[in-house]
Amino acid sequence: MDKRRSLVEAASLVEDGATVAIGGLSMNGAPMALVREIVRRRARDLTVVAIVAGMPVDWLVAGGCVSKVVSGLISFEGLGLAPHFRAAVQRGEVEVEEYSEHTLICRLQAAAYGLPFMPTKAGLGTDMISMHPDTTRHEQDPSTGEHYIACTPLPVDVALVHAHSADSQGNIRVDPKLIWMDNEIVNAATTTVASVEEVLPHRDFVAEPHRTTYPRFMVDAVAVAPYGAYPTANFPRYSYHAQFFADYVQATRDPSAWAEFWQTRVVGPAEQGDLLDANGGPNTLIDIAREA
Amino acid sequence: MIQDKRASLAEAASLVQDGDVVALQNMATQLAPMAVVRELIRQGRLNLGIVGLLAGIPVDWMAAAGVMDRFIGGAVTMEQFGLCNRYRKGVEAGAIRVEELSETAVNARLGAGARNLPFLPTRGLIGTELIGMDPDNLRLIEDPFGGRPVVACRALVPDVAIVHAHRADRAGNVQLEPTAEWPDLGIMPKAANRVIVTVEEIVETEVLRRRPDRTVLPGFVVDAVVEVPFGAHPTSCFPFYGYDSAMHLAWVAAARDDVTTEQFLDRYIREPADQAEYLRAVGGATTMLALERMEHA
Repeated sequence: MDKRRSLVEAASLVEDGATVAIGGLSMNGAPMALVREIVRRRARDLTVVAIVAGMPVDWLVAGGCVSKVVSGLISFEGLGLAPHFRAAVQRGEVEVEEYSEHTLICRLQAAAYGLPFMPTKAGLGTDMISMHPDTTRHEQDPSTGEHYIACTPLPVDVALVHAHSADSQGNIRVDPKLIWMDNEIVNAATTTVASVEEVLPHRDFVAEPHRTTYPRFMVDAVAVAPYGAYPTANFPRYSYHAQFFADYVQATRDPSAWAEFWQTRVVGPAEQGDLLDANGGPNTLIDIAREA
Repeated sequence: MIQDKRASLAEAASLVQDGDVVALQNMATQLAPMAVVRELIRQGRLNLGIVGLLAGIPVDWMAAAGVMDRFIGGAVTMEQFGLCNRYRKGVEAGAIRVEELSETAVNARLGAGARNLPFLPTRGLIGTELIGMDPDNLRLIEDPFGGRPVVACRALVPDVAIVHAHRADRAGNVQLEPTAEWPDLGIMPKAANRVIVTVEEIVETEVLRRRPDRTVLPGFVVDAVVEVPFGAHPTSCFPFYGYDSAMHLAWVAAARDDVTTEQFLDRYIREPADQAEYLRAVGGATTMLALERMEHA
């Protein structure tokens, strides 16, 4: 079965009101090309699950797509806070359900294993448990007396991940296997949509089966998007584009500057090549490759 | 300062005390830490409790040599070569106690040990009699959120985990070549109090750094690392070498009778002084080359 789709088709698998989990970690490996298409098609009322993310969540919030964020941390790390996410939360427009990264992973694992809960000791002694009585509960093991937190499953409608390569059937390689925590969201999700740097012949996947990170039966759609994690990094090929992050943060300080930035450098460009050209073209590609 | 974890087989095996619970990596005919198993037999360990996901010839040898008195795990079989008849005999005679679990329950019990949890839940086992057979370790519990009940699998913390892999550095960082990765390697060492690793070769750390994604165990969980070429023989260590069919068949034949069993243990386990002598006893370079070509596999 040929699972190749255009970015527009792949992004359309995310329906309004869906729970969408975003792959990558902070400045690394986010499925930005897919996120951009979701923003461009003006998706609404999404619940976004991100263990640790920055730019993809900020784009979705800036585009008015998000009603709730379930996460461990949303930031641009050394380059600042995620400005639209922060502003929307302060205005009360976006609800935040905050967990530790580990608690969030336990909730995703419970969903992946079909269990009513996953126990963990991480989070004991914090106020996180009382903030979420419906999803995290302090329990005591009757036979040993040990304390733990029971974490309910977090079902995900669509996982969005970016990877290095795929074949036409949807076998996916993260290569080398720096998969961050993407496997946790893929395992928990009903539907998985991946963007990849390139499509390789199926025989390459058969020749080296150990390099397959997600087998095709876990993957529903694959879209080719060279530099599809831009402006986040996709090691070992390219680093994150620090200048984009800096310009982005700067533009948010002034409404008219922001409107122009958003139009010309994020949502306006039609294709992936247009996006890269709008952000420095070949010079940028050379810079982020050198940084990697 | 990197701690040098290199040890001899004898030193590594001395981390196992009489009566210990020992988790052994092994998937039937594949990738068992056989050199340490033979050393434990040579040193005359007693009353070991062996944990295995799906164990084969190492458990049959340990049962034959009388070093174990209990097994906790999913299955003991040599697959196409037959049942492990010395283990079977020990169980039938009451010399070996069996705590039988599904493979999922083994992983859940070790996984709870690895995560320092009192238990891990599983949906597996529901509707089977395994739960009632092991009430100390398996218990049907209510979901605190009001959903369906699950089986709580009590944490299992082995005293020692023993695994074999392709390479390590002297700090005990362990790499596996691309091969079928069974879950025991990822869970047993993290659950156990002490960890022994045998490897085909000990290399400079620089070699591991060329492919960091192949490192499966970090050095801080490892207590002793021993270089033992063909250390998994007669089980396989793909893609370096296949399992030794002739050796498995010779064992199956010998194990039918008490006298030939003892002769086999003497010849292949008790008498060879080191790995080179063992490899000479099992056919030397001719056997090693054939196993590398995987003619028997």
